Amino acid sequence: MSAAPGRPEGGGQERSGNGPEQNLPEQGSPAQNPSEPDSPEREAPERDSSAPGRDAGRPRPDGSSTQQQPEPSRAPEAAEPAQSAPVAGAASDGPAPGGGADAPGGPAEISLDDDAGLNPEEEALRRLLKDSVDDLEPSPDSLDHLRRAVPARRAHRRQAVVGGVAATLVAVVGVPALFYGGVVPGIGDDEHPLTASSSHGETHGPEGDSGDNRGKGHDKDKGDKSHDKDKGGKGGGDAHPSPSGGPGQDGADPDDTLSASAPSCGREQLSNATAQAGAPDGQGTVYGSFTVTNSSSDACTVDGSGMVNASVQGGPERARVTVVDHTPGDAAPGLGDPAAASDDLVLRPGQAYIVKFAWVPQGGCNGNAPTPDGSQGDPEVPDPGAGGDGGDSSNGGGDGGGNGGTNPGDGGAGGGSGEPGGGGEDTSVVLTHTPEASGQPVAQTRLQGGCGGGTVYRTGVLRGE
Amino acid sequence: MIAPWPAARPARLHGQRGDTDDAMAAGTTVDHLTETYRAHYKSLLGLAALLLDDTASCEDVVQEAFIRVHSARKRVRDPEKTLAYLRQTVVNLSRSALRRRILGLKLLSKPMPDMASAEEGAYEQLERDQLIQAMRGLQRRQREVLVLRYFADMTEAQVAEVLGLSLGSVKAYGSRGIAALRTAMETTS
Repeated sequence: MSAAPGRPEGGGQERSGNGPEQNLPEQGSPAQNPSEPDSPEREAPERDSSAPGRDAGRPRPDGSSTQQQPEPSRAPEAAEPAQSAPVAGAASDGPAPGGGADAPGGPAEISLDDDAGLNPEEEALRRLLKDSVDDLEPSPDSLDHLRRAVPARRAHRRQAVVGGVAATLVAVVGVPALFYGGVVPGIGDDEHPLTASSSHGETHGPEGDSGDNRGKGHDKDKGDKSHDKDKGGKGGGDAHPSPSGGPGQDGADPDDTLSASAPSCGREQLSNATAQAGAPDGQGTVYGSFTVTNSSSDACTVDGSGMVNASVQGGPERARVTVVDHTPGDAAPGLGDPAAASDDLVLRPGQAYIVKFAWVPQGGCNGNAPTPDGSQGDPEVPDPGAGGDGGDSSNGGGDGGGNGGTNPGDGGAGGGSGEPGGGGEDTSVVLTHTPEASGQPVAQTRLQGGCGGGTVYRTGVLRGE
Repeated sequence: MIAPWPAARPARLHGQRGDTDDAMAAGTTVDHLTETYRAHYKSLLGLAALLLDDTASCEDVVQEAFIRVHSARKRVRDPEKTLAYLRQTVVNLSRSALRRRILGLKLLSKPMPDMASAEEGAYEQLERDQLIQAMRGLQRRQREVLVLRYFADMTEAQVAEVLGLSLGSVKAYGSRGIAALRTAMETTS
């Protein structure tokens, strides 16, 4: 203990060099009564008390240059540690014994060196600390464990992040969409072709045929038109004149006036839907339609023309089916005048809208495939898998025909997403219709004869009878 | 075929940055992990041993610190800061380990049950070390300051940052800690 008072001073002084008075007094006065209270005056008293033999030490304050004098007088240990941190001598001696001798040396050197060096005692402590744990070695498998654990943890984090992002997205996008979808007229038509074609992407890309181009051109027209109308809708009564004045295509002026007042059709209002497909004509083209009825007791406005999706079922090679908008002069003249389509049709209770489509198969199957039941056994049906199962394929044809008739939209989603590898069934195309307000298909129909792919032409929303 | 290339090349070039790409990050982290392991694991083990009052959980703490730091991609982006992150994490974990032990709860799940047996000799020795015992007699803050300042060779400013203390507090804790330590060592010896 005798040494104890001296040493803290050593430590204290070193630190005091940096900013002595402020720190020590604040903090520790209770703990270290002897040294700290003195701190303001510390230097003089400490040196006196701590090292009587330190006479050499006292002069230092007077002239820093004299520093080195005291050191030689002291134990050599003291001098060395100050200059080079890892002095073995001082450290190995251990703090306890060496400390008494070193303590005085410490303050002196430090006062000059400031932070740069540790005083001997600190140096000793440093070495002791390092020595004490020097024998610790990582366990042999610790690196292996880390190599496994880090990726695992990272995956964990990523999942958490993804989950968080997903939840945020749902909140940010979904919630407003709920309100928005029910109140505000749908976004312009121009988005639908993109959505429709991308939803069965593999069918779309390669076919850069004229059908696509025409479709796009048409889209733009529609987009412009719908933008105008959207503005009108949002603007309320004031803006109303603009839609009717703008494109002026659909002679449904009375409906337009109504559209300002009728809210958009919600998903539950349009859940009652059917699909029908006729028999193939001479070229194999199948005409059909989706009929969606306003099943609620309120009038509502059908915004946008919804989506028509085609998915190919059966057949090992994925036939390509493209859905394009019907345009004048395309391969489906039976669909009527595209201008007849309405972008915001008002449905009174019980009224229905119709989306017509035409299925124009492509390629070698043209002559045979279109018939729903007929030519299933045809060798040209390019289905090696199905080829083995003659019976099945004919069954498939039968089913297809049956479904193709009218299939209420109940199983819309399931049918639409049916696995392409549909067992022994022959290649067929399942068309689904999803109204703008609905998240999922409300009606579907199955068309035969898609062995070589083809094109589905669709109309916009037409007023039902 | 496109993705792997950009991923692989930067990984080799800068072996230490893991940001943009998953593959890249995975590749670099392993390298970076091994590198930091070799460079710092042992010293961090010592750091944990000095901070904690039981040696059994040292390796757990260091392991957890490595896993945490290396699984956070942004933290390994700058390799020079890795050691700082690791030390900080070890300090934090040691504190919480202490707290939990005080509460009588079990620390972290033990990743390596056989750890103790493998290194028992060294840890046992540590238990008998006079300095270690004296260190454990210090207040936690004093011990932390001393360990970071002298074992980890951090400056007082760095210690202050890691511990969330003011510079003055660090100095005070340090000087008091040394004094207490000296007293403890002298009485025992």
